[in-house]
Amino acid sequence: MSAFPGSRAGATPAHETRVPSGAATVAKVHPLGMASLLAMLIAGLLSGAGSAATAGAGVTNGIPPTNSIPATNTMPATNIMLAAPAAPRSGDLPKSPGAQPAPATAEAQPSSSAPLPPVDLKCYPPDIQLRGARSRQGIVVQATYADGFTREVTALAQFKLANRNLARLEKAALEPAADGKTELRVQFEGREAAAAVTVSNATVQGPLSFKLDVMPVFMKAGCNAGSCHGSSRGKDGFRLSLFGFDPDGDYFRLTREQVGRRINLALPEESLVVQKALGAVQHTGGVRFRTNSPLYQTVAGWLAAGAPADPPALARLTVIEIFPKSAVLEGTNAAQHFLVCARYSDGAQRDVTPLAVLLSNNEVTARVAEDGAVIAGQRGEAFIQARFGEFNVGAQVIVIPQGLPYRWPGAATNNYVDEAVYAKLRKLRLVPSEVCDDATFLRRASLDITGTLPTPEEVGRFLGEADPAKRERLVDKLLARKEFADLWVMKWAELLEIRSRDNLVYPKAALLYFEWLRDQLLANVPLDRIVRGLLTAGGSTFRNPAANYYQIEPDTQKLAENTAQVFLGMRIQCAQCHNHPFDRWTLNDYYGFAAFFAQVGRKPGDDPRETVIFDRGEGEMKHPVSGAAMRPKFLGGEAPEIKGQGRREVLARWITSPENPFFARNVVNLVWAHFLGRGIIEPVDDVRISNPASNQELLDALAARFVGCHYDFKRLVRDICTSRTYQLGTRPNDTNAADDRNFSKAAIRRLRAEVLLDCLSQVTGTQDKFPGLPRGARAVQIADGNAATYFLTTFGRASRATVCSCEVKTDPNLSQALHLLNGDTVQEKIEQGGLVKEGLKAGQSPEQLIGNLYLRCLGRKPTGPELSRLQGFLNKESLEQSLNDIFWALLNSKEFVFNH
Amino acid sequence: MRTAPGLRSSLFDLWGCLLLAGILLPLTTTATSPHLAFISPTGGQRGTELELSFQGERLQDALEILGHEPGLQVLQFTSVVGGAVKAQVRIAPDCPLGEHHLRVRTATGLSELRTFLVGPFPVVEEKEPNNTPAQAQKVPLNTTVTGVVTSEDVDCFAVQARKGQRISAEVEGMRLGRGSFDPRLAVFQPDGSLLADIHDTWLGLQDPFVSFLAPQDGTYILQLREITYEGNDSCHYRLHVGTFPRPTAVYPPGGKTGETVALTWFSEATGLFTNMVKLPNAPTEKFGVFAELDGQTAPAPNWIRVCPFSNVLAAPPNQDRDHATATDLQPPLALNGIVSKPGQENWFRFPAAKGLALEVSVYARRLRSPLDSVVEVLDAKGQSLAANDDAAGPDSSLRFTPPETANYFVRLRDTLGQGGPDFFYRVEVTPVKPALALKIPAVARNDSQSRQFIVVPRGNRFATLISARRADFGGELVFSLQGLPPGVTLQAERMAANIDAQPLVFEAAPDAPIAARLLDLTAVWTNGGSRVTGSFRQDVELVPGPNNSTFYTTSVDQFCVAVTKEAPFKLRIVEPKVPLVQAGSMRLEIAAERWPGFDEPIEVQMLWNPPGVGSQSEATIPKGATNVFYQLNAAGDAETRTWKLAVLGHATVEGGALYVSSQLAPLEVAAPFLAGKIETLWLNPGNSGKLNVSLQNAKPFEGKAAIRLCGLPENVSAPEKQITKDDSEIAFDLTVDAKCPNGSYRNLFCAVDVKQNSQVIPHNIAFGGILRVMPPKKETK
Repeated sequence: MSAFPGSRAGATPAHETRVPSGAATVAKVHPLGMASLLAMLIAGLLSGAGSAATAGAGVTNGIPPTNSIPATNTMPATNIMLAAPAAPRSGDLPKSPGAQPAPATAEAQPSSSAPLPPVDLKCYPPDIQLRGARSRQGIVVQATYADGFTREVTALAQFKLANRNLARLEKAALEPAADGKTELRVQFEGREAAAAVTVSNATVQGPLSFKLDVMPVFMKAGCNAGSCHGSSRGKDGFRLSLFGFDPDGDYFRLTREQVGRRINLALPEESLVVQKALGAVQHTGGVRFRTNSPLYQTVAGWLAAGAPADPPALARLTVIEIFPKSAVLEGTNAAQHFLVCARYSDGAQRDVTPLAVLLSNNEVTARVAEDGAVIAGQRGEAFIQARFGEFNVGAQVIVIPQGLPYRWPGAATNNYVDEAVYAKLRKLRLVPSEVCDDATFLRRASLDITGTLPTPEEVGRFLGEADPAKRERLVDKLLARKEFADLWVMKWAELLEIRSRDNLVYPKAALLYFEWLRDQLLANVPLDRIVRGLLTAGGSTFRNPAANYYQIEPDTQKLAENTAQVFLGMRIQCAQCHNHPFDRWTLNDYYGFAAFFAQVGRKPGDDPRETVIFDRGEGEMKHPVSGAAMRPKFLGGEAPEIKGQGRREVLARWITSPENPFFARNVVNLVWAHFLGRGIIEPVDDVRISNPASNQELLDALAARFVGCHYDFKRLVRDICTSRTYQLGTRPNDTNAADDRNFSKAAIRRLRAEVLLDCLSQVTGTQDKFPGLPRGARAVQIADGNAATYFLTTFGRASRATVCSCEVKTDPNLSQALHLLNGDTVQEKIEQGGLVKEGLKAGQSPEQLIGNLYLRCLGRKPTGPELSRLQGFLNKESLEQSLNDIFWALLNSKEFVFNH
Repeated sequence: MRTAPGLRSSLFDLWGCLLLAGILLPLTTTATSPHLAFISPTGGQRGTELELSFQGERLQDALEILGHEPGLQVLQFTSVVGGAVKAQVRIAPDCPLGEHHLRVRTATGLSELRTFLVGPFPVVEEKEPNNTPAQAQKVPLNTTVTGVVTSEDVDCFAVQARKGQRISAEVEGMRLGRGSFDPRLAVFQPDGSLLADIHDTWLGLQDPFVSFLAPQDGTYILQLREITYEGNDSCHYRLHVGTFPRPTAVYPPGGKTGETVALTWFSEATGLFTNMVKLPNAPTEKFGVFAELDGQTAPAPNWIRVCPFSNVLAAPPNQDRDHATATDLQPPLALNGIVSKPGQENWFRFPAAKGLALEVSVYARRLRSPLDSVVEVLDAKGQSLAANDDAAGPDSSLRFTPPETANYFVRLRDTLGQGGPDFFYRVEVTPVKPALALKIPAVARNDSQSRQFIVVPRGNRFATLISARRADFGGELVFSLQGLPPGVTLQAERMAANIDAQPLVFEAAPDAPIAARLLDLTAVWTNGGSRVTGSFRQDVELVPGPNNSTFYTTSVDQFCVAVTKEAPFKLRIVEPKVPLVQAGSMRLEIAAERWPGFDEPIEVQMLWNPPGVGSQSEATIPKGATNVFYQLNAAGDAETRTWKLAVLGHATVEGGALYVSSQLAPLEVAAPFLAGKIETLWLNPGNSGKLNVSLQNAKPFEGKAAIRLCGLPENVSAPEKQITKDDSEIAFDLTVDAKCPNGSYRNLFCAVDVKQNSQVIPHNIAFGGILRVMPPKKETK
């Protein structure tokens, strides 16, 4: 539904607040003539204006469809396929981007790979290990072509084993014959690849292990899934731990409950556990495997051996890998096999492809066939996830239609951001949109960097400047403003849940916490230092407000979860009860991480509203299954030596160390999402194996730069805002209309609640009053998350009740539309501000006033047609009223409400 | 500090004359329970005269301003009306600086206590508009500004300073006790840049202060506001601005009684400087000392301890055991030092005798030091004997008994590993001694001042409950109160060792002059040669905080007794001629004597119940009635002895509550006259039977006593019987209705109305009787 008036009449569904038919309603609360003004706006007057109006025009159903941006008078659609000038050095800005279409220089590239030989050949796995007579290693050969396509050529390649006595090659798989080392050579169309082969215990049939062999069967067959026996109460009387988080418990339940029935060692094949899985007896879960399946053979073999318990010193699974890591498939039905290899603590490596669970996150683009091959579908990108044991890994699959014509326009790169973005776009055969015009850029950058609109004077000055580096200078100027800090204080305050809580966090504490954060950002304190300050904070929540980090969330486990989510972007909540099904986290990881906070102590301060945070020096985090006191362990890292050190200090050092793979990436992703409307990983706080980055290279490059500049927040923002990618227009081209995750065009974003209210106040020259702040303070400066107004709540302001990035809502709804149309905010502000009245008093002509209102609200002048139609709307009898109506209509236009 | 100077008004004599002449006695002029809401202005300069306004209710018969401290003199009442008393007051040039506690005494009562601050500087009033630096009100240095921060209000003041000049500013906001005002003080330099922004300080808690050397010549702006911009009309402040010293720490933080000590002060703006200070002769828990430098005095105190034993001062480096500051002094002694750097430990060594239990108590935060102490006692080998973190709030306190006569170590550090030049502390090592403290328990929720003083109408009585907290001893206490107003007597029993609260009754003779005294109430326990004395103290919660907490509390240690005009009624406990027996009950008669024309209902309540005795919470003597019966019950194991009781009653007189009490009346708790045992009886529904109760007479009683069987289920009846002292058994005729459900009814007992001296003594005896109602057995053929 259209949340805002100003959309084109034809695009407005009948059931929404349609302005033409709703004009009568509007007229009830607004002065005469409003309806016709609105109708005029809807007829496309505003939306047909300069490129800045594209936002308003494009929005039809609440969320603006990216492929509905109309052509503008400054950027003809024919320019889309033109390339930018020869690529300047990284960091340079294009000269007057957007205003002048760049000339085409790049040559058209062949769109298909068919006749040319590959440029690279890879044999997977690169290191083959066969240990024991039962071992078997599949082989996958992948060829890469000059245009980036890949093709699986396992069946077409020629294999040659240097020493044929050591192993047998059967159906693209190696089986052991004799102990020794050799090499497997693979040839295809003139390219060659090799893999080292090590064979040991070639004739030894090792015992089957419950944890290493049988448990993976339960996972592969789905026995321990949440909907089956992995349910917390089990299923039909039999319970397994969800995804195998408690192997010892599973062994106990299998072998010690219902003895002689669930497993029958006298007649192993009569055991219920296999009878059920085979479907030989009634089984709610149906047939899980057949007698000829390796899964059956593993379970039956283990039962036949007497269902032995594993020895205490059993090797542990340490890591799994997927091969190949990526594939770019051309044409529907192109297939690619993947291999999953597991490594163990005793150094063994094993092909676990048949036991691993393979999943696709986009079945339309790439589905996993029964034999494990990934089959290409429609154009797009998919992520193939492999799960084995408690580990998850993933590979990227891109599917491009067969014979797609594509020409890279050779767009300029301003810096490394553009290089990384373009590399991905080229892979996907996408062409970036053109760069936006100056007025759009000024408004966009001002809103994004400072949360304010440019003043008419700033607009005039900026548009009048001829300096080719003026955009770069503008970014620097905006970054130097206090409002930049205000905006990010608000965003961090949301993540840190800065709000008062009954009898726990008093408004004064929330205020001081907020001010502490503001002071840090105003002083451009490197982010790693801020985070260390937070995590190691102790003392009074009034005197060291950072200590409120431990008061706002007093629960140890939630504290650990929040820390992971806010600073590392990870949601580890699942692992509180069971191993994470779509990520790597186990109960051990969860409770090991929570152990860093197990000794945080709290005691009353001098003021009854104050708490003193300190380290108790005692207290442990207990594992819920084993009851063992958990040693503090980094997420995805080691269990550090903590003797003689504060646990929180150790954790803070690790989180903010340059080597930490998550922290910098998480921060840059947060920042990127703010400026580009979508995270490289989206949602930004849900980093997991199964939610990969849309552009890992971009994320890595930004993170490396961020670490390299010592976590200088402003430099990071500068890099992003001066990139050409940030400056792209919102108008799509033929290739990128459907793309919403690779930053090939700018996203149209509704202003978030606080910024919208501040902008309303700014353009109307009015002030607001929020609890705990002086009159005139801006909504972005609200310290206490509990202090809200109807306007802010309606427009989806974060209540700061959780650390989740999903708290901020920019989805439109009926209440918002009605509030802007009929609510007290807009109308009252127009009247309170009295801009029109003052302008008339100062002798300004109606045309001057309209021009001024356009500049204030939209950052541009009205076009000729706009002005002439508005002149017709002016009523000389009530000039002030009709100008106020125009003001009202501007504030209700999508062009005002959206950043574009 | 302990004298009761009283601020007599010149009107007092007039009132006294009028009262003596018997004029102004008609009831219609009686006002009760004066209420003092606040004193305006909030403070004044010593050595000046000013008019104070005491605002409240029912103040029209005000006679006197009672001050708990010396130095304020009421020259005359300039206006006395119900809502306010205005008085011309002289603040003596040697008036103690700081907080003064004042009450208004009227002919009919005493008001609550309110505070008034005496400072060293001339006072100017804030003038609005002063919300922006451009509007800043110019104030000369060494001035006190009084003002109010209302909602969203920001008050700006401009002072001129020369480069290098010391400028101090201190706010008294919460410390005024006027309302919940959390001030925030910012200082802007002449170039507009922010020099300081303070909200909380260790010394002033919510009240900020700052002291700095002016970095340049020019106008400095002081900006004062409520921290969340949510001021209101009760957010008063006194802002002292000048060149005075404003130390954050004083060292040593304590000294020996009667001695003159060199106190070293510290503030960042002044560095260290020293004053000689004469300490009081009596031990003082928290003694306020005011720093002086270059002829200027700090407007608010720092706090030290005054104790009857000597100081040991840390001799740095004493940061490990090998360098511990050693003393040959035996406890009691006080170890003083400063944890001057983060992470630092301070060590001391002292000798102690085997077996003498010692208390090691840190005084740091209690004296407003930032230190959050952890203390540990170790033996000569370094073995830890005892440790404590937070036994006394953030301060530490522990006890240990030296296992042998030897040297012991004290190790002290900050819990959070912090330290600095003002992290001072004092560790008092004292032999464990008995201690006693007296107070009047709070009688109202969220009101620490209700009935915390004694107001006795002439020819009448008033009672209060007094509670005693004994530490490290147990025994009987004797109360003493010297210097009562003429004509007033105290009725107080010895407080038994097993109780910690009891009533005190004050009685004023009909001709007692209308007057008031501030007294020392003490209680003494003597046991052979040892003697423990405890004194009264009243903690006054002036500014309530969230969740029944308090932002600002002040205290006085004087007991206030006033004689007021006659009350229109008196109360009397009609002393019972019979005892209350264990497991028995009593209807205690409370009789009221009313003046003609006074027929308001009178609420009476038992001030206190002896151990094992319970009573109804209160009773009402109805409008016009002259008595009520108050139900008392005794537990089966109530101690048998005679106690003294009093009831307090109040009635509404001219819109206020007027309290009087009964006399202190004896109540004997005695063993029951007889006991009994019920024999278990089986009956079928619809049948009758006899239930036998055997009786054991312990004490003969008069005539016949009615005995009833109690605890019977519905549908079972047993007519009352009569017994005499000679009966050893009684049988009740039970009739079980056919509808009576089957079951065992196990809570049967007997109520016996024993008589003595023609009065009934209700007894409950023979508990635990059983009646089993069983279905009829099926007949077997």
